[in-house]
Amino acid sequence: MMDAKLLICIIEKDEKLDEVLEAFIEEGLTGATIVDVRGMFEYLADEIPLFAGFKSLIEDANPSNKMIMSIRKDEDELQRAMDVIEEVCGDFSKPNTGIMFSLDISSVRGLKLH
Amino acid sequence: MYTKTIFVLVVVLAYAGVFLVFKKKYLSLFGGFEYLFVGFLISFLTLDTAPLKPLLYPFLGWIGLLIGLQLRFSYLKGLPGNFYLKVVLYILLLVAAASTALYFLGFEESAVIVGIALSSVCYKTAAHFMPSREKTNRFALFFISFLPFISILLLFGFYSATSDFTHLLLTLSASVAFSILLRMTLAILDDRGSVLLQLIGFIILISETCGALSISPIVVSFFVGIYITNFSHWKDFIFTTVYRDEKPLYTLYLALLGMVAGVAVGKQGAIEIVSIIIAVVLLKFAAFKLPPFGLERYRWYLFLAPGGFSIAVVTDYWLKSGAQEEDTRFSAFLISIIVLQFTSIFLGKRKQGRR
Repeated sequence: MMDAKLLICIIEKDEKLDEVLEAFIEEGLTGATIVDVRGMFEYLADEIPLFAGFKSLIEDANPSNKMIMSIRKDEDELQRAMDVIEEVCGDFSKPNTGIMFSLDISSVRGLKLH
Repeated sequence: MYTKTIFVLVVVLAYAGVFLVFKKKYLSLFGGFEYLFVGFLISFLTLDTAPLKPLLYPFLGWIGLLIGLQLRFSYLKGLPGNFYLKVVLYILLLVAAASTALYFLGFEESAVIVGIALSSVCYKTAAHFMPSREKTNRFALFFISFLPFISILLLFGFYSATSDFTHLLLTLSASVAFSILLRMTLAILDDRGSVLLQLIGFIILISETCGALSISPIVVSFFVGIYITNFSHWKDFIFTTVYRDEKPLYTLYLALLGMVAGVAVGKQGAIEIVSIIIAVVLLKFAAFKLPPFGLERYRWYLFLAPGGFSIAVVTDYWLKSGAQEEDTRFSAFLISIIVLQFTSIFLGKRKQGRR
């Protein structure tokens, strides 16, 4: 059984993304994938704009949240990554900050974990 | 006091009723212009609406800023070179043809402004009937959404060409000064609440300064928007903030405009309404049949409505001109836009119903 964990974190303040990634590097936590995502409410509330057609076409709808996916080698490293994110983005128990959770990984290819 | 009470009621109405007019899968037959009717109706009451006139400037500044904030240079690389050529050629031809026609109908200087306004297309109406997720529609929608950028530049060019050098200097100085000032003050803020407050303050400051200097708030805030979206790290939050209340602010703007402008259409106004409508129908139909623009495969009537942006352009001129004879002309223009909007949406709905 592997100890590796997949950290999934969705941050609402997308301007904090750069800071989170820089803090990861400072902590020696390398490797993360960033995905643009939209929440359910955002998707349902999406309407055709009156004056902002160009931007909505370019970005294909409203501003998106950012999802960070990162594989961590064990529980300690996972907790460190979560702490770093909270230090930058603020307390996740407060509304409109974001959500994060982790999953156990059963197997990995293409990545060295040690 | 009476006027203020009515105005507060209009604000409440604009915010409360916006969901009746704009829904995700429903577009009313007038596409929001119902609020102009509301304003027109209120204008029949004996109110002193002159003190409300300066309130129109911030709305124009907000529209200019919202358009400018979309013009990020990195976005422009994704579109092919001939796209820009087609859009510019289309708008120049349409503005030239419409202005010439309106000039001979007696519009004189305002012919060019009305020509610029009429060449635009209501994005919401077109996109409602041509979903952006269908790849074949994206060219037309990009085409429509790009028109306001050129229109504002043409507006700037027209004002500069028809005014003295001081006007050009003031417009450029105000644009540069407000851009730098806004960016500098944004740089020291680190929470969204402060940025929001500052943004509201700046929109009012820019717009009212432009009003006092008799320069265009749309043009100045458009340039400020371009600068902020390309050089400030708050650009995404600012865009979201300015965009978030787009619909209630738009309906409020229309109701306020209707109240302040009123309807003053005599025999001459009726002739102007018919002339504008015929000119727009003929010119837009012709433009769609011309191969260089690549628009032949789309339903031309969906491009008929010039939309709220055109009203903002003419409002900008109307506030700036201050001439009495422009009042009836402005009323005629507003009614023409309402008729064109109705026709476009009605034909779109009819076609949709047949499928």
